[in-house]
Amino acid sequence: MYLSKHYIDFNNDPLSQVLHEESKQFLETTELPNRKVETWKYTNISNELEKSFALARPKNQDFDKVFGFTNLFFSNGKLIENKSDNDDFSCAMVTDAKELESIVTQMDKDFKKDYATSLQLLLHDKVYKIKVPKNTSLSKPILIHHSITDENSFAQSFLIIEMEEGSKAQVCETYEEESKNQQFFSMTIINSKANSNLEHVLLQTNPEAELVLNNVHINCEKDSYCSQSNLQLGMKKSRSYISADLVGSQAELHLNGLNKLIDEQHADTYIKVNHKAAHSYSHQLYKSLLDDKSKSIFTGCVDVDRQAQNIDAKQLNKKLLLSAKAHAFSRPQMEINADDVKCAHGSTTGQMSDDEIFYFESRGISKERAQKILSKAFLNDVLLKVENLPLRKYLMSNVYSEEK
Amino acid sequence: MLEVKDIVAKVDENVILNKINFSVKPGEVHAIMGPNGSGKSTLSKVVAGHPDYEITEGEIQYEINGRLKDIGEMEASDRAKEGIFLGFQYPVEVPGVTNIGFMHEAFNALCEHQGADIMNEKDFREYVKSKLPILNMREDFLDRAVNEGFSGGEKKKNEILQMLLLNPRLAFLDETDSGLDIDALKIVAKGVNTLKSKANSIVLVTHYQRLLDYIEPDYVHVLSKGKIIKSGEKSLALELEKRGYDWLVGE
Repeated sequence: MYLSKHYIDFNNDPLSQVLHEESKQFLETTELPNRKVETWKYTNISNELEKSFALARPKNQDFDKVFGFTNLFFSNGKLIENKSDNDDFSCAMVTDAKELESIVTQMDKDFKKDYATSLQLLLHDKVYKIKVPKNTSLSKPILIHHSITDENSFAQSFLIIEMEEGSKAQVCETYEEESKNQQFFSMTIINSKANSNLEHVLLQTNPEAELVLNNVHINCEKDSYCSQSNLQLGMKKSRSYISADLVGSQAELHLNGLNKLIDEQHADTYIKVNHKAAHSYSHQLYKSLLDDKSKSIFTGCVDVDRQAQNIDAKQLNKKLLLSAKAHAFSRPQMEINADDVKCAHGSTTGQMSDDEIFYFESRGISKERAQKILSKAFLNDVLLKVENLPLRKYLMSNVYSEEK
Repeated sequence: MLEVKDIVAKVDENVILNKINFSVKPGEVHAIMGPNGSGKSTLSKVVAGHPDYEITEGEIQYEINGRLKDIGEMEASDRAKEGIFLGFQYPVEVPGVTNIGFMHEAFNALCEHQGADIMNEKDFREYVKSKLPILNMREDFLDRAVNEGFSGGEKKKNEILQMLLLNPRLAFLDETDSGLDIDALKIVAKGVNTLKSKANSIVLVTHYQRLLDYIEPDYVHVLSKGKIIKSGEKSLALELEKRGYDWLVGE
């Protein structure tokens, strides 16, 4: 298949030759994602995949540290050690192919079969692992800066986050604006061990990016807490697949997301939460603010195993349309095989209320200002889910950069 | 300060106001009464600049910098900044925006318009707190989302609080008395009376005479089918209370 022309040659040194070959075979025998594939129904990436992009080469560039965070800098997918500072955790390249192979083997089968996952495994080259040691609570959130320095190029980030028992951390991955016409693939594998507490954020702010593919796989053991926030603030096209397995009782998972789109931007989120253990908890909150001809797709899938009694799964998807030409698709899907569970889902799509705006206007606040305040109010509760205050503040400054 | 001249206002081709003439001078208190659907609320919304209503005939003149000006084309927010206030019959709930944040935004927009310095958050909170006792309101109302989960009475008090903070020259209060128990009615009336001065005018839109026991109007107008069919002094309200609207509408 033509994919080989564009991507395969770039990859000269995959960590796992086995996974590389497997995915290559899969991609060569599988149709490109199209309308007939349920998980890709509204997102066609064939145009993007047909274009020629070069693998971005790591560069020793300058970065700006953000105060109050432990900053890690990745240039074109490679960690720049001397520019990065870390304190009480380790961030190192994974050198044992078996380690990655065993992690991939344990992944959810639908996730593994996904076209984008295969693409990530095909392209994988350098794999990094952040490990937060047992009973360690990091003093500062980790901020990972990804940048792609070249135009018409692609880069991949492949990160494993291992939360040891009783550890606590916040990890935010940002893909920042550098240059035009880029593709960015990010794969994050989170393993939350017993009693650990992780807040993970994907923050995407590059409006010039052609295509952003995010694949996140989370494994939640007993009594662990994991909150994953996916903030897509503009790129031409993005697709996120977030898959989570709740394998221990009292595991708590929060999946929060925000799409703030303009022009013809397109953001697709596919979520699959597997409740495999009794007394586990999951909560999805996704909000989209859509202007112009933008498009947002949300599919939230919850699968409850037969033995997973007394679980609590909630899902809420809200979309606010600022233009008559914006599109919103919302698909809640629940498959419940246990008989004593709490599952709830809700979805709303609407426009900003004229009454609300007039109320502001009648108090001397201009229509434009009212719309900004109301947009901010709409998005705010997603950001309020981020509990670490410095991190929340950092995210707010990015999300509300124009609004003040 | 306000001259409404031969106004015809429509919403979706339905004529709601049909050649209304109405004027308010500084310091006056007017009451507009009338049966349901007579156009009372519309009149206040039209003056405040609600975009749903189309003015097809007539003029609304309002005094700005000492001169009467046609404000028919003016944005609602600009009218508000010039001192026109609308107290809502059904105040809107705005989840995600704090009450104090909302009022602060409005207050600073007004300051900016008047060329005054904007007030910082801390000073503004102190300023708002100084007004709370008038309305018997607790401080925690300020940190809740605008009107969200407020009782009917709390919403109306919140409208009057906003009015006192913005100190408008012309306040239209649309059925501010509806849904209030007698104690809340007295408190709201006290708040409204606080605004009353030689320079501030108030227009009360109401169904019932009981509000007028606490806020004394200089003039009472009866609206029916989009027209003012009778104007008079306070005694007219008492007569309406006794006889209802039918004798007038039938006249």
